[in-house]
Amino acid sequence: MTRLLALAAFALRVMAAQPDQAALNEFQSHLSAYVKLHEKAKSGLPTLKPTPSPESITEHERALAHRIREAREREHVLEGNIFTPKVAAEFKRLIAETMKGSEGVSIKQSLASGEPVQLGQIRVNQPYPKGVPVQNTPPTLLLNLPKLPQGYSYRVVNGSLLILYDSEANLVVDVLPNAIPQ
Amino acid sequence: MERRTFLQLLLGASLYRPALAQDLKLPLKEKSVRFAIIGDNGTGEKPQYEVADQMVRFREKFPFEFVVMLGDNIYGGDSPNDYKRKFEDPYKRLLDAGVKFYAALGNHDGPNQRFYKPFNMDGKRYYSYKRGNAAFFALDSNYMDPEQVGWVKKELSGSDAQWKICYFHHPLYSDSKAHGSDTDLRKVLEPIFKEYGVKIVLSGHEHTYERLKPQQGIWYFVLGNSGQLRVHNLKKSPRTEVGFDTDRGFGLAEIAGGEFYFQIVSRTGQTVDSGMYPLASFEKAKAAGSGAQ
Repeated sequence: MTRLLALAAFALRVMAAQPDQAALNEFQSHLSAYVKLHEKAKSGLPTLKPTPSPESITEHERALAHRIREAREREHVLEGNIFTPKVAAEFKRLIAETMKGSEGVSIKQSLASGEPVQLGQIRVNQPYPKGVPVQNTPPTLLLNLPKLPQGYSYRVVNGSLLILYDSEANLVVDVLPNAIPQ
Repeated sequence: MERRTFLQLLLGASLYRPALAQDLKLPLKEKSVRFAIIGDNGTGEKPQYEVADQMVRFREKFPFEFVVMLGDNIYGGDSPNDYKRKFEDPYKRLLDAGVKFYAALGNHDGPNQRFYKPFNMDGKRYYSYKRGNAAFFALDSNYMDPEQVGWVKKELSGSDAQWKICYFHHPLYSDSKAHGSDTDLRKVLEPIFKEYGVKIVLSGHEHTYERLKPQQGIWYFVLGNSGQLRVHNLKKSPRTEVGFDTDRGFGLAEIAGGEFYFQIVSRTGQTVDSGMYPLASFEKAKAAGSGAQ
């Protein structure tokens, strides 16, 4: 009987450690749709190459963000467009699992040594505010989250919020509240 | 003016001079690799300009070819005016003289700074370049994702440079009170550095200067006071070799064969630290190890 209980507990632990593939597929599908929209918006703009002109950089960023925002507004994109309830639940579970034990200690320490950012309300489709520092995203956390294409990142703000960020357009793509356990 | 007063003034001037005399501690060896180091510099305020002036003065004696930037290159937004006030104007004389700047991104930097040509990042968050027998790896510690970790491993393992120097914003070791060590980043990067023979690691983020005793056979420098400053923020620990937290400053470095020379200079031109690491010492330090937290 004891053996059976131990086996059942082990099976539960294994099940808990398994990622919810359906949720991750859903995340990839929504993310791919956004990347496609980004690329389409960019196609009408001159390619941003290294330039000595800061004006060209800021203008590219502004124009790209404007096009993406317009396209997303037409599609009535709201918060939760990528972090749907199913995806959000899986992300929170992955983060919570990662932050158990010693990993959690070093992740929290890394977040504290970065520069915790308090931004007030963060909205989807809005630019990440200029002049506000970026909270570093601890590598151990990144190791346990789905990979993102070049130019996209997960950022932690207000201590517990995870945002999906488009760096070329400086846009908040989506927001996941209460992602980081306190 | 009385003769005595005149002599006193003359004596005073001669006593005052050494503080401003740009006392160079570097050997200026033939065919050496010469560079300067700045971190947390982009404030656009007077002290940043004063540090930049000092760099120009030192370059007259020590003609460094390039400058490594440890992040927080431009604080408070990155409008064209910010680039001008916080980078182009303070370093104009260096830029005009053909000195190249190689930036790493800090937590106050917009990610699209990577497209700003004078930062020589070629549109990349992380990149490498070589000078003489030294290879430099500029990393993005804001976002050390698995892809970047893989790149670091590949680049370091493929490099045959005698000196492998990594630089990025967040320090793996720090005794400053404001931020401290990033232990999660350390857990990921330090084993790689150790395995592939990285000798020198440069970081900023703390608005102080600290040189650490060798950790795992690697020499760590934290220099984040080239524009910003947190006075008396450094709480030296047994692993601190030298610390300085009462003024701003910058670093100079010279690599000559198997020797790495360094000199840290304050805003007023005083040398606050200097020394030389021979390559052989790294092997000794590596063998001795050190697991400070």
